[in-house]
Amino acid sequence: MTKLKQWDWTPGERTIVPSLACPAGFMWQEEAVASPDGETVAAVARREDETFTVRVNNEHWEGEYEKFWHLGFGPDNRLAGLAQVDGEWLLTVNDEALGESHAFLWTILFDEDGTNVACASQQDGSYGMLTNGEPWPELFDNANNFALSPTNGKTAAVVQIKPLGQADTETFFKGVFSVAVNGQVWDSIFVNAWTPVFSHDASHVAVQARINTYEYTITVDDKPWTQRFQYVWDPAFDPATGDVLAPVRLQGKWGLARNGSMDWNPTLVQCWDVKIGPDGKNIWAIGAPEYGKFTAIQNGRPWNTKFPVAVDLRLSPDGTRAACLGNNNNTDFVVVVDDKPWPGTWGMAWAPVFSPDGRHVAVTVRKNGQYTVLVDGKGMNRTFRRCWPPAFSSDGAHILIRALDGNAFKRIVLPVKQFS
Amino acid sequence: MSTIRERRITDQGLEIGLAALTQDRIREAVQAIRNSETGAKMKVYHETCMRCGMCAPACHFYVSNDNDPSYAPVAKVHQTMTRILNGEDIGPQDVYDFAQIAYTECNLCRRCAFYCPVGIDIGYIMSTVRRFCYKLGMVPQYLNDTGNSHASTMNQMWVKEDEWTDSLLWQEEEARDEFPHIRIPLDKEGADIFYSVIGPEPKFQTQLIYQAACIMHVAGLDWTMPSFPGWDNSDMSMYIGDFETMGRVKKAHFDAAQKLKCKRIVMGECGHAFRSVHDVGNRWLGAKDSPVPIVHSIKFFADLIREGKIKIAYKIDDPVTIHDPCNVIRGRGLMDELRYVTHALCSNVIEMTPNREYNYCCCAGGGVINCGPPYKNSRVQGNRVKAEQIKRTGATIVISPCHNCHSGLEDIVHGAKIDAKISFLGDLIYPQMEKPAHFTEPAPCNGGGHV
Ligand code: SF4
Ligand code: SF4
Ligand code: SF4
Repeated sequence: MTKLKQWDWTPGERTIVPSLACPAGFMWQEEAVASPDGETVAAVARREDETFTVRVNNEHWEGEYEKFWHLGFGPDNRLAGLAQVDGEWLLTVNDEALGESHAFLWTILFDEDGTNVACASQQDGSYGMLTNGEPWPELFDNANNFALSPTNGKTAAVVQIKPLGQADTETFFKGVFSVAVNGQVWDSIFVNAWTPVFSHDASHVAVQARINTYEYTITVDDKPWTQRFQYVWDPAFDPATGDVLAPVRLQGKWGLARNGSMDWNPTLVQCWDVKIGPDGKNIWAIGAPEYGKFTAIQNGRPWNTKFPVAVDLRLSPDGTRAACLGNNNNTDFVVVVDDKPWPGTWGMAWAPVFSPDGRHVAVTVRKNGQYTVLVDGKGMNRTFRRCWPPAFSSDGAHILIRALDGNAFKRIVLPVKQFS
Repeated sequence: MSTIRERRITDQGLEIGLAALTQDRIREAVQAIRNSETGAKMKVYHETCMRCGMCAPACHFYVSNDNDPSYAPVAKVHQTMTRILNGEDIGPQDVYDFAQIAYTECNLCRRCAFYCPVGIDIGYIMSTVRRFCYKLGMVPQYLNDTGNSHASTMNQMWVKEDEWTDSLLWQEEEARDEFPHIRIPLDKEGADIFYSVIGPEPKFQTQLIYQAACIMHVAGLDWTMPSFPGWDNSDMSMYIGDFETMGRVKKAHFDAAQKLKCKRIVMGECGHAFRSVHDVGNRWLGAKDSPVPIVHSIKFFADLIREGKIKIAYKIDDPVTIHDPCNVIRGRGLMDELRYVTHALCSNVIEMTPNREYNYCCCAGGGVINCGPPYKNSRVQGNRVKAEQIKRTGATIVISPCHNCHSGLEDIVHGAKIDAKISFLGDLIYPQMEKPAHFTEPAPCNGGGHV
């Protein structure tokens, strides 16, 4: 969890940077990114000498780079990015290189509180990951589906463990993929594997596995479930029991399997994005009880409100409440909390954010190019050029809004009761 | 009349599949087709067909092979689905025949459906035959390879994740020589446009990404490309009959656009990918429409020109003809938009006949070109009619806003020794659009920039 308590929650508005416009000496700058605590704003900028640097509030980094990308803040407000120097790439965190340079780096991942940072790497045509700058001991012909555990700094990816020639379908179907955790490869060989997922304490890994051309299952810690399915989506760990749950398809319909046995019968047209509350009592997913009608599903029961599309399912910290966004094929976004749509529709909406006490929900929305923030269904009577997702104080009494007001970057703290 | 056995082509993928086929597996697959929902549709088609043969001259394979009846659409059904539905004894060698017919002698172009008096969609029937063959491991090797790539990398061409981003950063750098302020914005959250391309673009045709970036830049658009999987809109798994992989690949595409909170997906000049995103893959996932609206580049370019966002500096005078890609023309009705853009760019447009929704297919689509070298001759021979159409126009440029059409037409033009160049719309728009000096000359940002 981010250290919300240590942030400045004094109600009011502070201008952190009066103008984010590109200053003299620069040709252009990219879109700004804002730190979670709202104290810092940064952007990649191109100097007139055609090198790149990073502007942070009103300063800029010492480093001068040939290219720079993937700028973003971690949950602990550290600023990371990927920089090219002499044709090689470096993971930079707060303007310092973390580890050695590589032929290519991508996909920066921070863990829950930002303690650990990982990224994907390629060196001499071989693939792996770095954790806090430390590369895997072994690299592979290919790697993808990179994951970092929520705690403890473990990494995992799907890796190709045998070479595969062009159009060598025979070898492919015998299996050339496996999963590497911290660079150590499982014994299992799959036709395909996707989305390794860690348990919260990082002691277990579950993955979707295609075990032959037509059959799919979930493999946990290198042991596949005995049951086979027509299709599976991303698994999730039950934090209370350590069980693994995953949407599975049987006889053309979707249900939810727990450790391989059916938990929700296969009655759904679609089911994905499983999320589980901390006590394991509430299991949620996005699904379609009927063709073309999507909604949130709690313990196998779909909500009454249904939409052509439903996205961004989020749970309250205790897992009893949920919010998601319904929309009509990417138009007319509606925020739905506990099966109740909030008034109004939006051109675009961002994932709902619950307060730590689970009582309040905030959502960033956009209409006609203007952003605003809604709390518990009520707007703030003010719009911005841009707003990043809001955050609540740990007691849920205040909300932090990070916004671009014209060219100024502002940090606004409001009492939540102002929205009631 | 020839028979499918007489024209059998050796394909390693089919040979390997054949060696593993058992009568039990075939029986199981036959039962699955007959008892599934699709089976009911197949039965209705089967009972409705009058064997009138009006679909025969609609098919370029039939016409190009001297009206050989075994290539008639109804004959392809008779040799495959009818036998499955009738419950005839089907042996491993028969499945080989089915696979060759369904994967390599039908482009799923649906021209025949336009000529059938009762609207039987033989393209759909052939897709179902392909699903049957896929379930029996009978897929042509090279086509299977593209499906395996989709399943493993979420793109068609085994493009690794670093190669994708590296190509974009490289194209942006190249383009800065021409447009000092140009960007290919990666992962830009909240952008209006999510631009997606097909797998071969970063691999073999990076100039298309360059051109698209320049067009977006000059038009002043708010756009982005993802640095992560989901950037490829193409879908050979759809054509293989591996719908499970198709769904996974489509989900990655839509998820990427939704994750970046983009308003719409603008896709490059491709036909089959369009079919997959707005018609087949989306529905397999349970959506009635595209979860994120899809705009094909034909429509996108037409709007840019119509709204004056890009201005065409000059027209070319070379004789130009238009190939109407089935998936965007018969499948979506973009023929007028295609002509609007073409006439904006060219002063001497000569139509092929027939054209628009009645245009003959390029004979590359439906995954046929992806079946690879073993089938090249049958593909070129199966499209003599298109070569003749092009020749009759006397055009030296054939505009074709579809990747597969492009490659297929290259082959037939070359085979028939026609002196014509195949061109994407972007290939013409990029050099012919106005590039005002404030785009091409370096200047300090004087208070601007992308905040
Ligand atoms: S190639 Fe086209 S016209 Fe010929 S049978 Fe197939 S769908 Fe019909
Ligand atoms: S035109 Fe239609 S009804 Fe006639 S043979 Fe062909 S598919 Fe059958
Ligand atoms: S490649 Fe082009 S003409 Fe050929 S089937 Fe596809 S869209 Fe039609």
